[in-house]
Parts: sequence; structure tokens; C-alpha cells
Amino acid sequence: MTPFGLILFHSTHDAMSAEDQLQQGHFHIRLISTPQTLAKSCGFSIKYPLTEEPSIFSFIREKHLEVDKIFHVDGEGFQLRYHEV
Amino acid sequence: MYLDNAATTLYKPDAVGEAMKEAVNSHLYGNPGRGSYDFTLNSARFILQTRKLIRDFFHADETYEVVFNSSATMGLNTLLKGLLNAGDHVIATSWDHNAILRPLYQLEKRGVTTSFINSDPQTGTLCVHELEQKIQPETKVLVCSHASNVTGNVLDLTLIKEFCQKHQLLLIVDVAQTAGQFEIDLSDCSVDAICFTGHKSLYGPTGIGGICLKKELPVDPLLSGGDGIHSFDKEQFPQMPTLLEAGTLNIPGIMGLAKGIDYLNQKGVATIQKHMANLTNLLYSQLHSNPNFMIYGDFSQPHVGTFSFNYKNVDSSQISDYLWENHQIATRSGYHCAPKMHEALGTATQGTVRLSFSTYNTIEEIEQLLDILTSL
Repeated sequence: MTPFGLILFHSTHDAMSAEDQLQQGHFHIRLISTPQTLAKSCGFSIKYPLTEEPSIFSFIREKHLEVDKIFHVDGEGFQLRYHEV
Repeated sequence: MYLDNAATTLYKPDAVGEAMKEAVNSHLYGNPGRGSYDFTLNSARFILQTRKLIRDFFHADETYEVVFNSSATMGLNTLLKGLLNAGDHVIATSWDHNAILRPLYQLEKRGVTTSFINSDPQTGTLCVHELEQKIQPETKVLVCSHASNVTGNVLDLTLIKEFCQKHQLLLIVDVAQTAGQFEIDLSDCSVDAICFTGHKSLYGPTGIGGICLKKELPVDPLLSGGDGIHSFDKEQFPQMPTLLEAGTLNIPGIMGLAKGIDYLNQKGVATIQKHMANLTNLLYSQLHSNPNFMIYGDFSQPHVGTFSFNYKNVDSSQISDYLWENHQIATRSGYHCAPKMHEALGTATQGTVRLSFSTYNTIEEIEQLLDILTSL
């Protein structure tokens, strides 16, 4: 599995707003359900390719997007490991 | 002929119903915020777009958020009961609908005190000079109707906003009668919240409404329950709009409302306001000097498409019934859920006959109505 990045948000509303803006920035992101391992919530997170991470981080700062936490994810199959950035 | 648009607009743009049908029949719109597959995201994305559409419609910047609920009544209950506590004082007005008055009467039983601004008995104009007399150290909120649903007169918010800023009051405005037919501009950030309904002059369906409010407004939610996230928390997630949106949102309603607002944006609120003024001014010009008619309201002041009158001392319901039974003209008689306004106008016994218009009403219809009224 190709490692990827995962952005967590304080609310689904923040996640939806961030998705909208990141898509307008033409990033290759996707909304996924937040893994229960990371948060006892049923909210959304944004999955992104690590190759785009520097420009996504710049974009987040530039647009003042509200972010909770960011993780790098690796592993195989369903055995994923999460590393907070 | 349908002339009860202040109750609900009967005629809507075709796109409103089509969007609602699409919401149900396309099998594309799931429960927003519950899962991350395309069906739920389709709904969530549409809702996000519609929040922005509404914020833009009211010229509100990003310090505001749009919360969806079922009606302006729901919004007013949410804000009044979520902001006011025992010991607080609130100022309201004699223009207000029972959607404001009854929550306040409930709050009085919980230790909130109230004061009301009176209206001029001749014109119904709000006596804003009374504001300074009503202020108390405990005053926290000023709540008002942007327009009277009886006379159609629109309140000049400039003075109200200055008063609230001077005394650091929260300002809540009920725009159920104005949104869509009178420009509402939140760009100066001096209104804390407006409560709107979708089914009147926003041309959406019934069962959808909302609040456009400052995100930081410390509202204790009226409803609590599922929000699709934070399932183990005992309290509602404390951030707008989630804080005030417990339970599943009305997706067909929101989709219909969005089309109603698209329609308004295409027509232009200023054009609609002018159309309403043409209809009401025609009625006023033909009836105000006729001694058989009593007209209510100040037609030298800004006005929405609402016109109240009485014929001699005849019970208003008899006139409405006559118009329906003999001419199939739908009007509204009685008190319009605005008891204080009728007390002020001296119509607490007779009520008034209310005519209220939409973009679908025409000058020709008003001319036809005038022929009937002047032949009574």
C-alpha cells in the first residue's frame, strides 16, 4: 500500500468546507470516514497523497482552514499504522 | 386568485418541485454526515453549497453560519430559549408574531422579563423613541420583526442596530415576511441573527427554514441528539452549524429552497420589491379615500407586498368568505397571529382582511379585485 496522509477536522462541516476548497485547488484528495482508532467519532477526514503534502500544507495555511490533527498512514491491508505529524 | 402569500406562496418556480422530486427519486442523496460514500457526500456537498448560497443572499460574511431547521418559528424558539436565562430582560415589539411572543411568554414563567415597544394607533408605525425608556441593566436581547405581517411596513433597522450596539444587546430579527422581497444586508455584522422560513417569499417548500447567525453566538441548543459524529460525547458538539442541527436534515426541503433562492437571484430582490410596491400602491391609491374602507399601515414608508383593510365595520372574516365564495379569491381574515398589532390598531374585535402578494400576482388581478371591492 502506498502511504498517504490523513487530515482530521473538528467537525464534518469543517471537513466538507476543506474538501470544497482543496478540490478547487485541484489536489487529489478524497473524503473518508475518520478511522475509529484515531477519534471516537463518525466524522470525515481527508485522505491525500504524500507527494502533494507540502503544497496542501501551504494551501491550508493560506486559506486558514481549520484542522484538528494530521497523520501519515502506512501498513498493509487492514493493518494500518498512524503516525501523527 | 391567490392573495395569501404572507401565509405561504402557493405558486413556486417549477424548479423547486423538480429538485425535491430529484432528491427523492434519483436515489443519489443519502443522509449527510453519516458515512463517507458518494450518496451521503452528495447531500453533504449540496447542503454546504446551499449554506453559502443563503449567506451570500443575505450579504453575510464568513463570521456568519447558516443553520437549517423547519421554520422561522423553530429558529426564534431556538435563539430565544437558547440565549435567555432567568434574570435576563428582553425587548420585543408590538409588531411581533406569536412565533416571538409565545416563546417569550414561556420564558417569562422561567424568570425572564420582557418589555414591548408600542405602535402608533393610526399608522401602526413602531414607536422606536420608546427604546431608551425600555432599556434595563439586565437587558440582553432585542428581538423584532423586520416587517409587520399585518400592515406590511418594514422596520428601519438602522436605528435599532445603533441602539443595540450602544447598549451591547444581541439583535435577533425575524425576516419571515421580508426575506426575498426586501433586501436584507448583514454585511455590517451588526445583526446577530436572522430567522427565515423557506416557504413564503423565498419560494421554497414548507418544512424548511433556518437561522443565519454569528458563529460565536453562545446558544444553548433547543434540541439535542445525533449529529453523525462524536457519538460518545454527552453534549452536543459546540460548533455551528452542528450545534443547532441535531437529527437528520430535510434534504428535499433544502434542495427545493436552493431553487427558490436561485429564482430570486435571477429576478432580483429590488425588482421584486418594486413589483410589490406597484401592487400595494395601486390598492392604496384606489381605496384610501373611499370612506367605506379603512386601510392600515403607513404607505409613505417602506413596505412589503402585504395590505390590510376593513370594509365599514363588517367582520373581516365575512369579507374574506365573500371573496372566496363568490369570486374564488383567497385572502386572510382575522388576527394573523399578531395580537399586539391588532390591539394597537384597534382591530382586536374586527380583525383585518389581509391581501398579500407574490411575484406571480399581476396588476390585472389587482384591478379585478378593486372592481369587486368597490362594488361591495
